[in-house]
Amino acid sequence: MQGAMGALAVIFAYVLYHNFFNLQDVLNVTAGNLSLYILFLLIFGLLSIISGLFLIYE
Amino acid sequence: MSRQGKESLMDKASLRRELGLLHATMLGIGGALCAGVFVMLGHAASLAGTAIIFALLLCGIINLFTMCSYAELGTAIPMAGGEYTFAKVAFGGFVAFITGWFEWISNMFYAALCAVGSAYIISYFIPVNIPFTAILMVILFTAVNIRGVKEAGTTEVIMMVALLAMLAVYILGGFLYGPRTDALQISMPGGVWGVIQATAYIFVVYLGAEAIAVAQAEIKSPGKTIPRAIMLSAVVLIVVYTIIAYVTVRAVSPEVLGEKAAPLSFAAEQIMGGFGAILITIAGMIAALSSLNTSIMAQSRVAYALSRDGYFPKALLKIHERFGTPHLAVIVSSIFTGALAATGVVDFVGYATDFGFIVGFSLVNLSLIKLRRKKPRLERPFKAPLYPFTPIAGVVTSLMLLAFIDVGVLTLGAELTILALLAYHIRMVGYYRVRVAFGGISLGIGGFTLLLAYLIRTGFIVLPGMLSPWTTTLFYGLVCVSTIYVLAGVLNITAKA
Repeated sequence: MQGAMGALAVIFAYVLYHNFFNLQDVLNVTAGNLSLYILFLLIFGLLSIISGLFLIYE
Repeated sequence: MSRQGKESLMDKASLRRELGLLHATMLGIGGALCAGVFVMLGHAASLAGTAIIFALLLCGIINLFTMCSYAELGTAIPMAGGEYTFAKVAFGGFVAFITGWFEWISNMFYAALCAVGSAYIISYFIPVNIPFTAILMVILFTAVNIRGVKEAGTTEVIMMVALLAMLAVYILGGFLYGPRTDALQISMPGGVWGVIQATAYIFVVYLGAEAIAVAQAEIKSPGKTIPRAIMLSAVVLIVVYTIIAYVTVRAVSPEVLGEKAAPLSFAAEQIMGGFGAILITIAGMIAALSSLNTSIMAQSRVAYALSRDGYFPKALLKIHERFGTPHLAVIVSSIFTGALAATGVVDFVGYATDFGFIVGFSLVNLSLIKLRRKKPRLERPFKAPLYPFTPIAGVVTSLMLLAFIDVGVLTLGAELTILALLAYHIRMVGYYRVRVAFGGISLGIGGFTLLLAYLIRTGFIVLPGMLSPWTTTLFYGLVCVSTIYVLAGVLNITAKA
């Protein structure tokens, strides 16, 4: 589940970056803060995926 | 038996020696004859004028210095892995790892560059989606490389024969075509400095011939075949490139070439009309695909060698029972290549390739010098002539080329080095400690999420525009995420060593 959540976070970051469904306006994300949100989402996502993989691998 | 001897036997038992002199030579030529010469000759000619011929000759001589080192080390240490294996025997530790790391990454970037380049060339005739076509190319040549090394070698021979035949037609046409008025005058618009700049710029067209050394565990009679194939391919490349440059500047002035995106196609059109343009475009596509084939083979063999030494997962060592190839290493490396090819960004990929290969060249020459001192009695079926002049010249000229590289590329190289340091450190501290660290991070995220949920619930943090029912949903959602992360953290921390 942790890994899946991480993957969802990465996908969300991708959707947010490309502004699919006009998400940036819906969430009221300014251009200045966008890169910060993307960075947080990617770090959170990657850490979750790696941690989840450790558990799956076990 | 020494450790080295045992490893050598391991390689012999696992990978099949199926490549003869022709296959190995074509592998070297195919590795170097990429799309580069078809698109880069114009800018190089604008820098060096008609002296581009001398710039290409100089590149070939510089390349020959390092190829001598490759030939000696390739025969003295006949194991899979190329530069990485040489650095491992000579230096060991981090130097060996970083050599393998750059070799692996630069071959991946190179493969991606070839895939994207071939897609662009196809788009000259048919409108295609560049990233999709590039990925298709990667998948196709991954399948060829999994199918078997001999198939990959045979594919290379067929493509190289076709390519060399097309270039021969171009050269012949160029000689039959009347020269322009001042074709035989040596012009250097930027002086000697311009020629050196052109040399640094176009050196990339010689990169890739060292694929012979990387695939050495699969070459028949390596003691004889490797030096012959390396030297033969290096000399053939010098001859082919020099004549192509001569024929091109004989037909079209360097100033005009410098303005063209596809200078060789333009020159071919001047010489042979529309047929020439089509011929050279097809040749460019074959060159890009053959380099893609070679680099996919090279990157998988480096990944195989790094796995053999525990830097990469052991699963990559698995050899396909039927085809006798390290299929998992091929697939994993190709996944990264496909991801890079999907970006369709040529410049970034090309720059990274340059940096990685030039660093690799320097380390190979240093490995030769170190091994001559460290293991003077090591059996060397081929010895680099004029030692220590050749390896020192190889190091100096490689570093000189590095000095001409764009600052942005050097920054990228520094970033890749930091990434290598991280990977090496993770490997050194071991799996268990890394897992505990990730467990701690999960616990931290879980605790932070719980605190956030509490602050939202108590109204300490107010989200603008969010209605009360949504705040409650967010609270329960955050509690759920927090529980999962705390549980995952505890499970990772309490795992047995």
